[in-house]
Amino acid sequence: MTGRWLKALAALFAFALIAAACGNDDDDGGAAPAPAEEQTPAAEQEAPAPAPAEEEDAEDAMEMQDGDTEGDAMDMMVPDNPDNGVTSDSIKVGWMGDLTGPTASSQSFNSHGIEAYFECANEAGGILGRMIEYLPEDDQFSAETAAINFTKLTEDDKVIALLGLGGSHISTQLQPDVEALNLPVIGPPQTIDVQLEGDQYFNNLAHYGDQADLATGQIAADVGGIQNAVVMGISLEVPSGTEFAAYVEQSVNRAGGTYLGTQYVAPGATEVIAQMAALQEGIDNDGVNYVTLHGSPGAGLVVMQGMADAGITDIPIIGIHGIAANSIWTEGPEEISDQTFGMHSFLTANNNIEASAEMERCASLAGYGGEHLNLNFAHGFLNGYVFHQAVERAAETGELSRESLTEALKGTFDTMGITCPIDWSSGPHSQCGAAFSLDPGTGGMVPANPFSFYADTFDGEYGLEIS
Amino acid sequence: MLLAFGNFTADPSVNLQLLIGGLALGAIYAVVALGFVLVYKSTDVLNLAHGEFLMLGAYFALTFLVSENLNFFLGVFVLLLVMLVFGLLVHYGIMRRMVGQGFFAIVLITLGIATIIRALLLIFYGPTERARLDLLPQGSFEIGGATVRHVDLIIFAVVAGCVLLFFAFFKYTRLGLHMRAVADDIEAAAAMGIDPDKVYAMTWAAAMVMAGLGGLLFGHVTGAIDRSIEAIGLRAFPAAVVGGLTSLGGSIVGGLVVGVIEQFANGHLGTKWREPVAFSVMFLVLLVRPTGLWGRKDLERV
Repeated sequence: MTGRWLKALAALFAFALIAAACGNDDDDGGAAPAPAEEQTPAAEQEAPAPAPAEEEDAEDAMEMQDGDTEGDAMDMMVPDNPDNGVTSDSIKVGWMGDLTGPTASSQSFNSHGIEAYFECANEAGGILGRMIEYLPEDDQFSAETAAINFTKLTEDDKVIALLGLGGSHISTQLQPDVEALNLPVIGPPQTIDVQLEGDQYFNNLAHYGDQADLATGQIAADVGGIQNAVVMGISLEVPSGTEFAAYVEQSVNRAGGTYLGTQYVAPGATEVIAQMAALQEGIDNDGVNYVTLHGSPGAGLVVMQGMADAGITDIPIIGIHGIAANSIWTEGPEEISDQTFGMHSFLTANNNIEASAEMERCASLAGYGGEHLNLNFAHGFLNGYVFHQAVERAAETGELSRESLTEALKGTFDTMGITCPIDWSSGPHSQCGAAFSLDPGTGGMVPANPFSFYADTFDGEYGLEIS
Repeated sequence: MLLAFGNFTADPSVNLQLLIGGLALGAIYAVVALGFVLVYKSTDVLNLAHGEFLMLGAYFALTFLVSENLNFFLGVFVLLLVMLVFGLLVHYGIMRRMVGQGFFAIVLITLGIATIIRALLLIFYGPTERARLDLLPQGSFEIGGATVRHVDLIIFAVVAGCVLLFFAFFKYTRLGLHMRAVADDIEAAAAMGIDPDKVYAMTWAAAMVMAGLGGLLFGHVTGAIDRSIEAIGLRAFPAAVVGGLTSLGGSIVGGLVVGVIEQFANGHLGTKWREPVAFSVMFLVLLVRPTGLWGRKDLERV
């Protein structure tokens, strides 16, 4: 009798779980669903004519589409280097970040973008005739887990590079090891100052100092001159949050605006009542007219919902990291100011760039259909593409190792229009960024102004003067 | 300078806002603490998965009320029914086999259940956060320059109603009396013909219904629905302990006290002080009164 009851209960619960899962299929994935359009095989699509200086790299990009590997003859010339993840049939490359923890809703897209790029690259024959073995390791935003993952990737898997190293507390902790191993880190999702101390980080995301400058430029444009700006920062209480807030303070003050102070939000906070009380006080007493925001998409939503609850709905917001996630616009309160921007350095596939068709095709191929409309996916996709070019360039030296790859990265790279052309020959930075918001028509992100609009705002100086 | 010391000047309206915000947060803590107390009082199990149960309730509310767009009352009924069934499954599938096992073994089991729930939610719902629920009245009004949300008042009313309901349930219903009897002395209760197994099953079902209700309410006030909301369980723990793990009324007072203290710590000392201050209050209370402010000390006959 009891057994029958148990079976019935189990069936009912299973039904509830299935109903729950099915009821959310349309929401899964985070990025807004791709617009309904017939997919055309990428190989049949007409690629835009590359600029002369980029012709060679663009040809490489096309190779990925048609499977023509120009470097076939060279493949045999690059010896295996198993200590650096290069065997006769594969090249191992790692990724470290948060796939299932509190910042997974932004970082996981980054990994998916890389995976999608390599799915396509492997489909087209791999790189140098070798399959790319992509090894993403999930640390759930925990520095302890990240340390274990780093040891696994570098000592057991012996990866040749990391395409991303998420979490400022994690990259700070691992900085000495990254340097000691000569391990190139391509396109980390944060650009904190500790990364300036070494030679192994290659940033295609604008440095926090540059993003602060970009924010200052957007603020100035929105309030009729930076001298009219009274800015309050709201940051997640992690090292990158403190650093970004300090850079914004430095940038706003230097430009002639007023930075009133920073409110911090604990990771995992579900409400920000006290922070909103402070913001309201700043508005009432000091005329705060702009908010800068740092955090994960979840933290961003909590802050915006808090602003809506407190009736603070007419103050523009500009933020970084998760604030540039699609979900900020699709899930955030409608009453928040239309002047809400997320800063980032990459264009998504809806922006009609050279990579659009490939990004969409590869996202589908890898099982991440629709994610090509997410900025972090575009970042990951670009990381894969830059790695591809760098490996081929390193191979020209006759060996493929962490050292030769690091040297090869100190050059220029095509980006298929995802971001500005990369030039790491004089420094590991990208002075390329824009303020983004969601385009409801395509479900993807669009810049408020082209990259060139913000180029003049970057001062190219790194390192904080404000402690 | 606004931020010269702490986060605020001594603006009374700011402090009033902190007080109101603290009470609103405390009401949520009280809902969670009620769940802790209900299970502990009846089964002696310290259920550290209660935050995850509440999170499950919030996600199910999202599914039934938003994705499936069920009528509000039907959706809430389905939500609570599913949670009730889940509670029975937790008991008959897992906890029943742990009766008589060591305290820490059972606590570890609840931690295991919490981990499984987090993993299942990630698998079925993905990592992306969702907008909070907006099915209850969303307006607000002002008192002394501070904002009071309608939804907070509704939560107060629901929490007060739940407490009254539980008091009446434990005092006047047969099942409630059975629960108290089993909690007092399981062997004596069994000798009197009470089936402890059924009592425990009902307790887990009731706790899960409370978690479903808590998830529904919390889903209306949290900034976003994502897997970080399970932390509410840990954050409400001091509330349950301060009030006394065996006292329903104590959980309410504990929740409100801890909520207000947290908000003032957050507002005046900074967000990093919020939880340390709350847990410090818990330590202080435990040092002075190990059973919590309203908890009951069991007498052991030797």
